[in-house]
Amino acid sequence: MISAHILHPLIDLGSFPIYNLMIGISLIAAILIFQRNSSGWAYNTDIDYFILYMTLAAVLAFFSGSVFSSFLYPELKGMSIYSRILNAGFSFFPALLFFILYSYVLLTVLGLPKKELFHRLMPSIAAAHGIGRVGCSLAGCCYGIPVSFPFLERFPARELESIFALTLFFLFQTRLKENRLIIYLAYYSAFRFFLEIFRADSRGKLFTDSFSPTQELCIAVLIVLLSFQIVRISFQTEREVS
Amino acid sequence: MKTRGTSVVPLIMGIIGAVIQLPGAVCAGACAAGMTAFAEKSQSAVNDSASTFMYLGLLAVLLGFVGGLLGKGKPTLSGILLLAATVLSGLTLVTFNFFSLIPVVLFLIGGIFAFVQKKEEVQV
Repeated sequence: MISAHILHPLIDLGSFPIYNLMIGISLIAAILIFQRNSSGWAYNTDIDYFILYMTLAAVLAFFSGSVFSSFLYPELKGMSIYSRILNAGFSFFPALLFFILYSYVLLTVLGLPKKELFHRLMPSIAAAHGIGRVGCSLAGCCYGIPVSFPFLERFPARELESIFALTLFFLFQTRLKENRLIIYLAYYSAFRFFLEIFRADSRGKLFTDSFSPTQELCIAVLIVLLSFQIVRISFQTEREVS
Repeated sequence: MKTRGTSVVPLIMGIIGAVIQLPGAVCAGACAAGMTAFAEKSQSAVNDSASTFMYLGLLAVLLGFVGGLLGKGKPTLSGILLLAATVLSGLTLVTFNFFSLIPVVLFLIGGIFAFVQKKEEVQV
């Protein structure tokens, strides 16, 4: 068994599948928030089907993220793909990127308005992210490095991430009404890059030994977003000049 | 005009039942393998019964999950799927896999609510 399976739960609940339960609760919260945010929208009659498609994309992304993370651990080489996935566990950041990719493709194929739907979807994703990380705290995965603070045995990496995601959710619901997808990806990538330094669970290896796979993905996402913004601004300036 | 459900109970029960039934399905396979091995049957019989009960459990997860998601949009179909998930998870209980007891109850409640929930007519 690899070190990714060592657990440090906040509360020991034995063999009860608390992580699964929290994932279920986060999915329900995401759906209910999306339904609330979509009430009164012109596409409201298709909302039930849209939720079904997005959940399908989320489930596919969940498995794709697990398959991706199963290739990050050299210690798992030689095992069957099923055992690799079981041992490597679930990884949120690759799954998030897969979800965005799958839902973009799905919405394009179905001819649904991508920008509008992603805009309405982001508060749900942020809320599900925050609640899912509570599941990590209860199940004991994704823990931080040991620290010698009073009342703290380990750096509260998963708890801070949960607070971060829930704060973004509240900001999306109250203040941030534009470019939600870009804001979420940019801020989360930057935040996660630094948070990775304080993570103590086995992180695996993607390209380099200096950075964890998630840090490498964070850098890639930030570069893509920056390029996207530069292209967008240059197009806008060109249009204004002409 | 289209009939829609108004209750979130099928959604909640379907999803929570499915996520708890997921390890329950693996448990059902393991319990079935244990029982068959205890009866001193051949290795292929042990493998067969393990995979049969695991797939039954996984099918219940799929039906319960989809049934939950359709709770408002297609209440009748949702009820049928959730009741089918109840029966399939119930079948895995014969392996003494009591892990599936919670999903059975949740799917059943969700299925009943899908049928009896207050409906509304919406313009398509």
